[in-house]
Amino acid sequence: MSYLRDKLKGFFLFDEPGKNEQFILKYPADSVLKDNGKADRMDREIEKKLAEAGKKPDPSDAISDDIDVNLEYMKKIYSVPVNSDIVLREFSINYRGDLVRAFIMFFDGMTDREIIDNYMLTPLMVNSIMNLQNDLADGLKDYISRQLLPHNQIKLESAYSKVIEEINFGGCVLFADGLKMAFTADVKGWEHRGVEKPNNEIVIRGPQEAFNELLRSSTAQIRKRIKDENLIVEDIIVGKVSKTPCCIVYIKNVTNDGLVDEVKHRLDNIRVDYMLDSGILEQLIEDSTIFPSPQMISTERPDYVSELLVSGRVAIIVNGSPNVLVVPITMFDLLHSAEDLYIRYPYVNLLRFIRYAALTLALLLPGLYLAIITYHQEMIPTDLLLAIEASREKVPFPSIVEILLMELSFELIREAGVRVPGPIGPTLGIIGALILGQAAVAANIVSPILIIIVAVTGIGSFAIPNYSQAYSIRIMRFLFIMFGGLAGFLGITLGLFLLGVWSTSLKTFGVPFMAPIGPRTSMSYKNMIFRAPEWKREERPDYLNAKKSRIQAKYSMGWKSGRRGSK
Amino acid sequence: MPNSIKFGKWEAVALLINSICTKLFLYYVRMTAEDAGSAGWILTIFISLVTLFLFTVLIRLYKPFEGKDILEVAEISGGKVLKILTGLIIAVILFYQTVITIREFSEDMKVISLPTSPLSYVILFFIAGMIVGSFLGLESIVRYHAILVPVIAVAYILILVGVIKIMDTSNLFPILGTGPSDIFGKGFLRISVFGELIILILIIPYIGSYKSAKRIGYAAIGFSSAFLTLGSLAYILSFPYPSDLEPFLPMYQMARLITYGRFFQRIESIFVFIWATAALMYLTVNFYFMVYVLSRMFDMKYLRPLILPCALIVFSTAFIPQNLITVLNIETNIFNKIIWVITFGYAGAVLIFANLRERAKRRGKKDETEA
Amino acid sequence: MKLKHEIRRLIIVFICIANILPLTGCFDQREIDDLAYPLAMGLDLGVADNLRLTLQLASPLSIGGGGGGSSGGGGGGKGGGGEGPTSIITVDAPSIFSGLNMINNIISKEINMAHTKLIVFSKPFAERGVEIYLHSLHRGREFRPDIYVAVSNEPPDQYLKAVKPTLESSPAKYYELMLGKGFTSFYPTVRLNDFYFRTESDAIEPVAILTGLSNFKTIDDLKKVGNKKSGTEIKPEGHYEAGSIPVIADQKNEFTGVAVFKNGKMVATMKGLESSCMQLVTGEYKNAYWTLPDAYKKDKVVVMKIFQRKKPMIKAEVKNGKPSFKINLDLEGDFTAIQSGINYENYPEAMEKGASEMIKEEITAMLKRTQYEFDSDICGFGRYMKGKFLTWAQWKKYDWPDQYKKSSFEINVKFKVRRTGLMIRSIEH
Repeated sequence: MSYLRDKLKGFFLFDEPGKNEQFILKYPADSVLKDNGKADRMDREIEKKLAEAGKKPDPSDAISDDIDVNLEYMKKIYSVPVNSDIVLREFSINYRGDLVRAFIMFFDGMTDREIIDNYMLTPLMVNSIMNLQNDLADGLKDYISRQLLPHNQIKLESAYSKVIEEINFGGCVLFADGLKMAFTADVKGWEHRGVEKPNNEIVIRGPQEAFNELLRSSTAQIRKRIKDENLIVEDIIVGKVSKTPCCIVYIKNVTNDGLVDEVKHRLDNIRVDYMLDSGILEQLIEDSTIFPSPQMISTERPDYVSELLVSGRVAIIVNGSPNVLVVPITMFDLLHSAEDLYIRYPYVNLLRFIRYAALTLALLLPGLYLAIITYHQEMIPTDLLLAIEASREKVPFPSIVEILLMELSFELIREAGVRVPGPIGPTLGIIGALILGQAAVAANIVSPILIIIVAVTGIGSFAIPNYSQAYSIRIMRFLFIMFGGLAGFLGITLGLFLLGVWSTSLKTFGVPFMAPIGPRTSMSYKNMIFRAPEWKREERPDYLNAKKSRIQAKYSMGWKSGRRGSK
Repeated sequence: MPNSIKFGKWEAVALLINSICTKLFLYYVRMTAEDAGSAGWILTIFISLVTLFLFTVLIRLYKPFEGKDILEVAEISGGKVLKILTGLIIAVILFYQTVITIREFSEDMKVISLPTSPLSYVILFFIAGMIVGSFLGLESIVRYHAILVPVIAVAYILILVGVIKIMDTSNLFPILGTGPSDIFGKGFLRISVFGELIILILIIPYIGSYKSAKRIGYAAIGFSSAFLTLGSLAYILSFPYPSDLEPFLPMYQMARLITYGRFFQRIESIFVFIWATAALMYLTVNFYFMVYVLSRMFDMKYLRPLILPCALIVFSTAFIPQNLITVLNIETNIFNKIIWVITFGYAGAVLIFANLRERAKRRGKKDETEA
Repeated sequence: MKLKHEIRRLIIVFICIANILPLTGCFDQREIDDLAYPLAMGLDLGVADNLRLTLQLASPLSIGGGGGGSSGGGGGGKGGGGEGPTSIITVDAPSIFSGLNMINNIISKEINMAHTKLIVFSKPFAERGVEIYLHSLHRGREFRPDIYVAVSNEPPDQYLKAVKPTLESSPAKYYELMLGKGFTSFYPTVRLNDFYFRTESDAIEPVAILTGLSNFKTIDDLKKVGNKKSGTEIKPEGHYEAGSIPVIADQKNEFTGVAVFKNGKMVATMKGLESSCMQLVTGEYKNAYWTLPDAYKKDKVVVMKIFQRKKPMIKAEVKNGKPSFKINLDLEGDFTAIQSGINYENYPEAMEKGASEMIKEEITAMLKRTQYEFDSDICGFGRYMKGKFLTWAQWKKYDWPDQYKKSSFEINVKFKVRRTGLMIRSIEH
């Protein structure tokens, strides 16, 4: 109630807006373009990273050179006797004849035991006895890191917090007596899915690989496709407690620096304890949280992400989530599918046309039907009118109740279909179709023509390639039913107007949501509303303000213009 | 209000086209028939040419004031007093236009599809769109224009093409209609049809350079006069002269006449979409600029707090006219004959004054430097 | 303090509800089955009041195929829809809309005229004048401008009762198909908006479709028309008006001929052939079969399908203060029957000449009739005359309706045979 009051107050009274500066994606400065993207941004980032690495740890956080202190500390942190899957293994290293006390710590199940046994424990415990030539300057530290540990990813950390982070992330930590630091080895070996076929974004033409829950595997999948040193994968950690590793992926000489900074800025300033999936991240970084449509693409297809990266966008990968987010997008991107580039352009344009029709039908059809049947009867051809009237003659409900009834039962079937265990699914569909369709008509609860309307609407919403967009359409459909019931076409027009001005006022990461048509930007990237032939897709989308605007040579089919044998 | 928003030429042109041409859906073609009989289209061409000429003069006067809107220019020429006066005049005109149009469109919707609904109910729909549109700001409104003006234009052309079957060239005769004095004499007052060009001199800060403002003006006048001429021509062709004075909604009547075969007919209800969209856009723009001018006039930082009270005033004022005929008379016989005085006359005077001031100032400076 | 808050909350809630209430009204929402749709409307002279209004209401259950599960529940009789697809209601009322209001006292559903296809005037009614009622038809939103306008020989209540289309389940489809077609040309296609515009215009006078119920009940009745065996003269198919066509059909109503109006009053009727001629001059003609006398063998006929590919060219002039018109018709024909077997296919000149002369004669006769018999410019020559004037005032002063009688016409018919069907020559026996 108090919430409502506040809202009402906010509606009638005016609060001075806060100083939230809205991010606007600007065209990169000329100097940036001339340097071919080797901009100061990257230098800045590198400096920042180096400074971070060279930073002295907090005194309270610093690792002691007394192994007992370290042991106690680590035991306390991980509540060792209680916590059952943390492994603490104490042993000794033979160093110049002395036995140096040491221990390793790791989580069982998250690490690869083989690696720990063969490449850490064996050399440390067995090979050290051989007393290799060790006239290295820095004594024990160098001896261990340069000679005893044949593992490929060893880092030296001097702060507890870093060490703990490493253990939590499936690393193995080695403490040795007398050293003010610890060795961390990346021995991640947690159970995970392999690279599998995409489950939800199925294409007929094109690669059949999907991201999995593993961060590095996902980045590798992208790198596999864009073999370019300019592809940058920046790590960032989100979530105070969950400490979920995320990556920002972009191509440094293409993507607008402002965009990357904005993405980083948003990710850096998320103040949550737990962030477990890209679905949560999406909700935390989107521009408008109440706008029905999704404002970024969430896909499980590495090829699609690569395509979007190449056009100058930024991808965000969240560890533990098979869905990768790509920003920024416009309304039309939500109607593209991964397959669109792989099939020939006339086919795509047919598909695009069908999708737009599907979108319109799914959004407006029930509302329009209601408006026509209750306000604009003169529009219906007379024969059809009489047929509808005859079929409605025995239906006791007003049309709006009839529509809501059918739409709700359709949503019911849909939701139940998702939740139902696999084998029962089809049965449910049949029951839904039979009972609700046939029986409802036979029982004179709804008129037969309405079944057609609801069915077409449903099919239309299934034809929208973006899953979240389909959701938003489903919600808005009910609004349009309401508007249509209120004042016929006038109501629907008002609904469209409100939706339209809302959409045009929206920006996703500085890019207007309705970009190529409202505001009008250059249409030379010919894959927005309809797709041009592949050789004609010469430029990147104008609204992305990428550093390089061309993506193809002017004559991309060089074999056509050049003479045979010559270059 | 310092604005970081800039919008493109196309957006601005679309905005102006819709503002000027919305009257096509209401009364424009009938008005030309009332004025000039079967020569309404000649009248339209005539007033377009006159407007083009006046605009050329006006925009030339604007040259020293690149990037400044009429209020700033008024401030230059006559200080704060003139600025407030100018703002007041423009705001009153926009207010008047909003009120009359909202009433007219609501009556129109009542006649077309909602005969038994109370007027307030219909007006509420337009008011709601107006408020939300103004809240979301100019940027989203112009973008919406950029998307939908082409759609409306296409649908409009479709109506005109649809009635080709019933057009009769003999309706154009007698070629001079009610006489040349009506067309070129009294008809001159009808340059008020382009009165909405006043919006152009308000959005100049958003457009940027003087050159693009000039181009936008010419493009808007060009497109609008093409649409207006086509409309009045098609109307005169399809409705014989004395009968074409009767329809309340000439375009709607025309859409009703579209019949192709047994299936493709009775489609005029679809045009409710176009009318209502054009109306919502027109009203939002008018209302937004009214509030904008009010806030600018008094150097207010935000215009949002003004929206609701102003909307309330518009809503209640819309009920003042006794009946439909009063509204139509106000619109066609009074308003559309005098508004040009403001758009071209008053604005021109302010500009001339400001030019003189500016020149005097410059000369003064020059004298100083020479001395 | 707290109480105040509560009260304020209540007030806010009330304001909200008060604002939302009007939104839930849906004032104009009408369920499709809450309305009754008349498919045709008849107007006649009333006895109890000024006007006799007849509505032919569609009964959807018999047209639209009653409901989904009509088979269940042991329904006695044939469905639930009465006898026919329509039901007729007649009322005497002061005006059209008051009549509708009165009818709504009898039937439960609100009458919605948006699907009316046909307006039938009775002859006496049309002769008294229809103009005063036309305005209200044009003003009403529900009356479509594309309603067909007809004049019937019988009173509309009898007429509409007799309209029982045999090929269509719904009379609406029947009217649309019947009256919108352009392949007999024996009756014009007249829609309400055209009729209305012509009534108001002084450059052209309105016409309406002529309709009526067949005079013939049995084959024997046809004897009344005449015994063909005795005479040799051929009676062309155009020499009939509605009602007099020698035809026996299940369907009793027929359309042929034109009802001519002047100043909003019906003044005469014209036959089918005259209707064709009128349409040839106005350019509405599409195509039709014509029975032409054979150029050489007078007892045989040649049947041609005649097309008007080009609109007629009409030039207006004022000669010696009198209007004069040059009418150029460009027609083409296809042979469909040559009874005499003369090889007209290869030597069509004689037939072309005969046909153009015959058409010219028929048109001249028709124009003479319109000029001298009922003085009504139904072909719209005034429209061409208008071009001769610069301003409306001059045109008004000229007073066209008064001048029409004085007009002279020069008719040129260019007729060419284009195709001969599947045969390319006739062989004489």
